[in-house]
Amino acid sequence: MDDESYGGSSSSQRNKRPAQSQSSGSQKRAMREDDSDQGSDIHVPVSKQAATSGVRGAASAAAIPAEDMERLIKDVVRLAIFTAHSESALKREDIKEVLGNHGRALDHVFNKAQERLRDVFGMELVELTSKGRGGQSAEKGTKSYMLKNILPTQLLQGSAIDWESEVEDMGLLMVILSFIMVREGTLQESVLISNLRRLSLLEESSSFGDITRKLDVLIKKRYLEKFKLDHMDESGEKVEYEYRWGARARVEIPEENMVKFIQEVFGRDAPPGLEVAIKKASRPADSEAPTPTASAE
Amino acid sequence: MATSGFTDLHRLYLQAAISKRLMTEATAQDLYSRVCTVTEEPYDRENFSDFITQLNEGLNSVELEFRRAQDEVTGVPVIALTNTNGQKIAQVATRYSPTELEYFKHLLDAIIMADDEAFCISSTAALHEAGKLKNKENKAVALTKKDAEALLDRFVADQWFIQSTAGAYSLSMRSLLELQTFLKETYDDQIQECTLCMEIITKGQRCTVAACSSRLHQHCASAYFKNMARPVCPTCHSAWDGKILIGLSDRTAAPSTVWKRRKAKGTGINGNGAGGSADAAEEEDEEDDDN
Repeated sequence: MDDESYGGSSSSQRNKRPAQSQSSGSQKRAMREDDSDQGSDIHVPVSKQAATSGVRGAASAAAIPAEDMERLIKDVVRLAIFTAHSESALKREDIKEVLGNHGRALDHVFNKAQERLRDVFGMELVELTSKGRGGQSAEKGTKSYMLKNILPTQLLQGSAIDWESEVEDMGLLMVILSFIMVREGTLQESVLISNLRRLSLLEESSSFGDITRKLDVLIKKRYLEKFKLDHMDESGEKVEYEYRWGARARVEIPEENMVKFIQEVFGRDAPPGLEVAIKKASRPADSEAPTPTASAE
Repeated sequence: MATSGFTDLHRLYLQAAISKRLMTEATAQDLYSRVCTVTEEPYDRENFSDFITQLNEGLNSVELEFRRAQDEVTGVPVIALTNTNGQKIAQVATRYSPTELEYFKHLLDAIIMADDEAFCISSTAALHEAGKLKNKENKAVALTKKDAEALLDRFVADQWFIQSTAGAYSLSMRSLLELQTFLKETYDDQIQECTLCMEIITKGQRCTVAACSSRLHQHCASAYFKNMARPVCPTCHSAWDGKILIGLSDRTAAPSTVWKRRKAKGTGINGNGAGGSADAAEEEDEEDDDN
């Protein structure tokens, strides 16, 4: 059993993951299987599409009476707001459906709705990207969007606002994301479970309830991605899975926040050089950082 | 396009309000004070009402609005961000699939049309409704009992329905506020309004005279009758005993209508090994719960 822990005071020199190299080849195969489950990850960059349809979009938008246009913009804004807290992302198809037979004006309406979302709510729609096969390839658009908060971070970080039950779940998410981050961006399920058990999160009395269900929700919400590996876990009885940051986490949670979070967990026990160590641990030895910048392969 | 004139104070408040859906007025006020602190704006308790008015003016451009009401059960003032364009349920509850929405409508219908102004549906009846669903092409799209059960839990978690201890579902304040327009337009005569506050009423008291239209929320009744030596109906002036209730009440608590809910509990992430025996233990637990 892996005995690494991030809850204690020991620091970060123990972050070489033996699993990393052995899994990369087999991973590809496993992930291809997974693709069939992730129907929403359509690998067509929307930006390209928008660019070609832009001119046509503007022309067809002009043909729509101002009153109808106003109606469409409102509908898209409300659709975005009402999906803000739902489990799944807003799909381009959902927006099209709202537009009905004005589908060709989508880009125009979308931009206007964005303006209004920023002005009224301080939020904007951001396209989720797919890192493809285990982050090996460049990021691609997925035609799915989520709302991103664009208010200054110092406003959001103040503990002024109590996000209620979300806070607990976000806390759990942050813990899991930090586990993953300091392991070069991937974490095997067996290791995750032993870490969660160490934090007493698997006990019946845990206030998180059924963690398996929570994990499923986080995957569904695209905060986490789970890939099947083609080997068994250490007990040799269960198929091993691997967790990574999901598209939504990459959009919503800047690396800096993550570093800050880990530092806060350590509190006054933080060893010197913790920040550098975290950042080092988060980068696979053989590639670029698992941050939203596209990697070379 | 005219802009909302909002500052980050307004935006931050809205973001918090969206995540909460429905707040008591006290919570809403408290939130206002905290948002003021974070954005370094001056806070004055007295300004809260104006602040909400400002928000509603800006929200007009997206047809949303903060509405206030008093909770039918507790009488506590609540405030919710609602859709003013509420003719279609689909626009309110976009996060449900068409089949799920259909189920929601069926339930809503059963609750509103319940005999004797009970305005609730037992969980058995609610699950029964799940078997009657049809899609637009009139094809049956019945939900399995398990799916219906999970969906009912979601409706409650999303604050559309409230569930009594006996398991019966009735309308939540969120539904009453957000579906106001829809309910009034769709059900017209079936919808009762409180004689005093004129808001929709699904829980409260009614006049002893069957033909009289008086209905009063509990909190409206206690406010209205407070200084009356002998309470009389505000409409027909006959004696008011306050004992004839509408909405969810003890009559729905009859044991036969109690449907045993299975909670998806505690298999845990490491529950793979002892699956069978754990399940058996769970069954026993439930038996115990019921006694």
